[in-house]
Amino acid sequence: MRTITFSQAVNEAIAEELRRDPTVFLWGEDVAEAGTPFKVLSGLVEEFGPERIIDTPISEPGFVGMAVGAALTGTRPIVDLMFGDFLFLVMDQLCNQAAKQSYMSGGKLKVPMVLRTNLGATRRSAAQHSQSLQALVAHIPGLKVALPSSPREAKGLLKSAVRDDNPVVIFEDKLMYQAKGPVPEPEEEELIPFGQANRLQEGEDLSLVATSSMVQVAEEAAEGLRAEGYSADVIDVRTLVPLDEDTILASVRKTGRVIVLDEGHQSYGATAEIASRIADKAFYHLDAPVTRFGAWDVPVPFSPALEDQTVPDVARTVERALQLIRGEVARA
Amino acid sequence: MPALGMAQDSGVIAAWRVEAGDRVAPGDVVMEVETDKSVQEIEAREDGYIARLLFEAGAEVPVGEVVAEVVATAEEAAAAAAGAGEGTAGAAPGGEDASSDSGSEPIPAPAAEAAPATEPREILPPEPASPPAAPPSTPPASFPGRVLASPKAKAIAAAHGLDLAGIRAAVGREPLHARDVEAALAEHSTAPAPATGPTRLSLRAVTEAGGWQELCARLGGLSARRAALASLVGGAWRREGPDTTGALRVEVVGLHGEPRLFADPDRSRLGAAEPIAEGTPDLRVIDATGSSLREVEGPPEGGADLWLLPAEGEVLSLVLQARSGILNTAGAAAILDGVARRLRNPLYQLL
Repeated sequence: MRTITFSQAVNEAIAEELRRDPTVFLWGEDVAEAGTPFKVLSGLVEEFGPERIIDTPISEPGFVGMAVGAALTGTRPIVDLMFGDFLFLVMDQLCNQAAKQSYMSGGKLKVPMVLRTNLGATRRSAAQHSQSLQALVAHIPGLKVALPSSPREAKGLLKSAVRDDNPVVIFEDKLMYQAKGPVPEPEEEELIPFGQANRLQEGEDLSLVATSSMVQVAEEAAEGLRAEGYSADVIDVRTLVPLDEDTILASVRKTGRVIVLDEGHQSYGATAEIASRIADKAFYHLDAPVTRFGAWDVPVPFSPALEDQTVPDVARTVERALQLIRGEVARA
Repeated sequence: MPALGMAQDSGVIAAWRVEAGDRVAPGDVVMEVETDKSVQEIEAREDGYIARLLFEAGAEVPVGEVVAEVVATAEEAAAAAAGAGEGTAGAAPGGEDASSDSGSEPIPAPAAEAAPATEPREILPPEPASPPAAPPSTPPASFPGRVLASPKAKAIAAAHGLDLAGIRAAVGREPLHARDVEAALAEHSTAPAPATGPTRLSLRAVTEAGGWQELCARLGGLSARRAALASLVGGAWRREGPDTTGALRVEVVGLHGEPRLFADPDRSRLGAAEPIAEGTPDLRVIDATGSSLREVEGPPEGGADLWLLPAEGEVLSLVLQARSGILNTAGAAAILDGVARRLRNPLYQLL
């Protein structure tokens, strides 16, 4: 397997799907000549032309609404939303229109569109360009939510998203675009199915259940625990909707202890939903309180020193894990 | 000296409300403590007599320090008062801290449980409230009547019939986790079958007992009747049951009168076995034939209990209950059948 960047993996996925299916096209702000501010889409307009890689005006509600309409007429649009924070501008198009069409038409209509956007703090982008809003989208029935954690995941999940007949929002970690990792050769097509979590490490003492950017944190925390003589299951959730409960519950039933990590704000976030399902369905296997680790409930600070404090990191994950394993956490 | 506030490290004894020799009961006010905010009345937590007051009123005492000793009897209090001039207060062998705090119940130190009752017992005062700088580890939180344990620990304990309160007493802290219960379980499995084991067997037989009643009429007195019953049951145990070797002790219990314990009663002439003073019975026979009882439920009191209950006319109902590990089902069935046959016709004892 070759090693390419996350950005290249996304680019390849889009190019392969554009070649495979003439109804697929992409639009968004600065996607064609500029190739997005993160240079993810560089070279696509040269191959596929301005009819399929389309620059839009700066009007998120407009081009997302148009994509919903295009999807209803039989195409498969990929929409590029430059920052996840701009989701707030497209809530009606996404939640009231895209998410509801299939249900309200008794299944006669479908909206096979993909909304690509991003998440992640610690890029010094301040409060309006650093949010991780996946829980907001996952709350709305009718939308699927994918959270790739590596170049390979990015490619495999995006290709599955393009082929899905439901609206899918895929969040890419903007800090990960230049990260490299193994990805299968283009001729070995890999589609990563939705609703199948990925167990990356196997251990006995604790389960670390993580999404997107936090998968790397969980993996390094598991290394830290190994140095202390403990082992952890590391589970990449992959998709919040649909959620692979079975893999998560099986792991927690084995270890009896769990930390759920997600870079969204902790309160009412993805960690809350997963923790609740664990408490509900694996209660009698728990040997320690179900623990969550999300971002602080504050706007993401611009100050680097403060910003780094607000998101979960390896050291604090290890510290919390050790407290759970040693029985030092009591919330009675 | 109890901690009455988060940041309190000492308290001033504003006044004593008791003196040496006074009897105290839970709820009695023993002293007033003045903190920087208020004066509070402190109550005794246990019954006893004040042996000594270790500080004068007006003294400032660090939180956690013993301020007075409580002993069980007035005599001990008097003895302590007599010796008070000699020893130093700090070197005294403890004594109960008469104070109480407004929050959690203290956990008695395990050593105090084992101390002989004639010596003053030391019960540690409640832990002072954690300072804010303390690590986020476990304070000894305790809720009256409830053992804090993880769901997994509770599930393991329930599956094996283990008592969480006993495990907490042995471990000395809570909440309990799976490893605490598993450790107790490992210890438990190497010990003999528990007296409180949840599993047991219970068999019931019905027999016509004309032969037994005729024998009782001939034997006359209650003592001879009990000895004869021990002989017949002992014979069935030794000859029909799985264990035919070793000494056999049978206790016969009536609904009235003292129990009688017999050693190897099957080796004596019917009705002639002599009771022995002490020992642990292998089998208890509860003779309720003259009573209104018809059914028994619940676990046996001993390892194996055999009830004789009236049924109809000369028909008796026999119930044999045994804890797991004492008898297997086949052995119990053979013994019970042997007893029934002997009650029908005591001559079976001779075969």
